[in-house]
Amino acid sequence: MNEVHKKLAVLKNAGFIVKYKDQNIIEVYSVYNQYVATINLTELIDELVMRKLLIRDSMLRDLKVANDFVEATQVILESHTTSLSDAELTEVEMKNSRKNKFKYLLVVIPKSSRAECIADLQEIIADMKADNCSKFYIGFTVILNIASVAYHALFFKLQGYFYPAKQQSKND
Amino acid sequence: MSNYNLTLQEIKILSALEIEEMYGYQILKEIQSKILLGSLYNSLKSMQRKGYVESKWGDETGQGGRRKYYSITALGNKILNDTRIELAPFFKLT
Repeated sequence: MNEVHKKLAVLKNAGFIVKYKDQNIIEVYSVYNQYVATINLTELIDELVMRKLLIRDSMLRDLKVANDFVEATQVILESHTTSLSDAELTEVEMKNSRKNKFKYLLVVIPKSSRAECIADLQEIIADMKADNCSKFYIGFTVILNIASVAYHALFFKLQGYFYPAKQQSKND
Repeated sequence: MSNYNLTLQEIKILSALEIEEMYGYQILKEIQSKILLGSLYNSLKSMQRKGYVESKWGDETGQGGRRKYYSITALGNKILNDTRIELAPFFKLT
């Protein structure tokens, strides 16, 4: 139970949205509502149970544990999505709106390097979080990098306009 | 810097890519320069236009982001070696 619960907690903490397709299948979406993955809980649970069975010798005891585990997990997972209080919902909405602001900021990045820039920024943020950098420093670095990408794209696009002679000599 | 109009930053990037193909942030870490992403992408795109490096998209899918892997071309390798030979006397390496 702990392992499935931990896996879902990791997804939730990472800002993913979990939607139930049916009782056993969940779909995971990013904060921007982009589809990420489909997880079959039965398979996940079976895999974890099999691991337990391989580790332990007592099959019957573990099957009983497995049944309890499946039932308990389903109850926890159902309550996880339906029992959010108003305060928690507001907190989630606020968190999502903060992330949406970041999404709008990304519009500044030119399309030519948007996808790779987002991937690199995510890794930079993850690295800085691992180094326990302050939120302000992380935010400052991200904005600086976004500004740098936008500046370089625009400046070099307009270089021919500002310095036509230089551009002409380059072309020659 | 050289006959090929390469900046020191571009030489560093080519040297990093000589070992293996890398994506943007990986290159930043490899060359250990305090440069911003914009400057890096600009250098990479400039070299891509000249045919020194080539790029391909990675298979990973993240939250809207996708890694782009850059690798050095045969022409890029030749240019890098020529530039090294050209620069060696300046650093008394010959």
